[in-house]
Amino acid sequence: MADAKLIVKRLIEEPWKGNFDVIDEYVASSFVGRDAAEPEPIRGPAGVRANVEKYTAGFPDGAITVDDQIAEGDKVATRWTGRGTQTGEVAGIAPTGKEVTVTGLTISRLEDGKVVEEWTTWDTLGMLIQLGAIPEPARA
Amino acid sequence: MSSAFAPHHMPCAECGASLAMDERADHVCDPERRLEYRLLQLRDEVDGFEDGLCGYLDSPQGRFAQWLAERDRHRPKG
Repeated sequence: MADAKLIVKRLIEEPWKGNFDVIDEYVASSFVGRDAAEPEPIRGPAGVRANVEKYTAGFPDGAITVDDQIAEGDKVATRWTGRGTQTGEVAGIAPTGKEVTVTGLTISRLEDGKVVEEWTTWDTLGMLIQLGAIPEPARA
Repeated sequence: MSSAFAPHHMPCAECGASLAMDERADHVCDPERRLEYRLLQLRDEVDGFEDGLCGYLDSPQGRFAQWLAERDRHRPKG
């Protein structure tokens, strides 16, 4: 069985490279993901894929890089950075051509080599400001 | 002034590249990226121009202009 940190790393990075096989390989059918940016939980491999595709449609050159991971018990905490150019619509925002960089944290719980539960928070506000959908706050 | 909620990265206003705060001063735009960025910003105008051009070329004046240009193109030089 692959190392838990490696499973999570691949699951976070690979779908953005078009490798959706890792979702079927590493996401349990009972998977429930809670993303602070999503009003409803993400359920199962199909839900994970749909969620990724929602963003890759807006950021076709997008990529996520895992920066750091900590594992304890059946959980893995991952700090990641996403970067991409918005050439498609995202959250109702027409293509801007702007490149954005956002950071996030994901805690994943694994059972039998598959991710069964996930909690994610990421810099949604930062993305919206970088895209110009929300005014940039004045700096001191 | 508050800097609360200000993101660490912001896109360059000229080329759209994502820049960290400490990269802004030294940033030099890549000309190709800047061109792509500007064209994307102007896509409505570009589309509008193409629609306008097609409309003109399909009008009586546009058809005559095309006929005239074609005739001139085949006219012997000198």
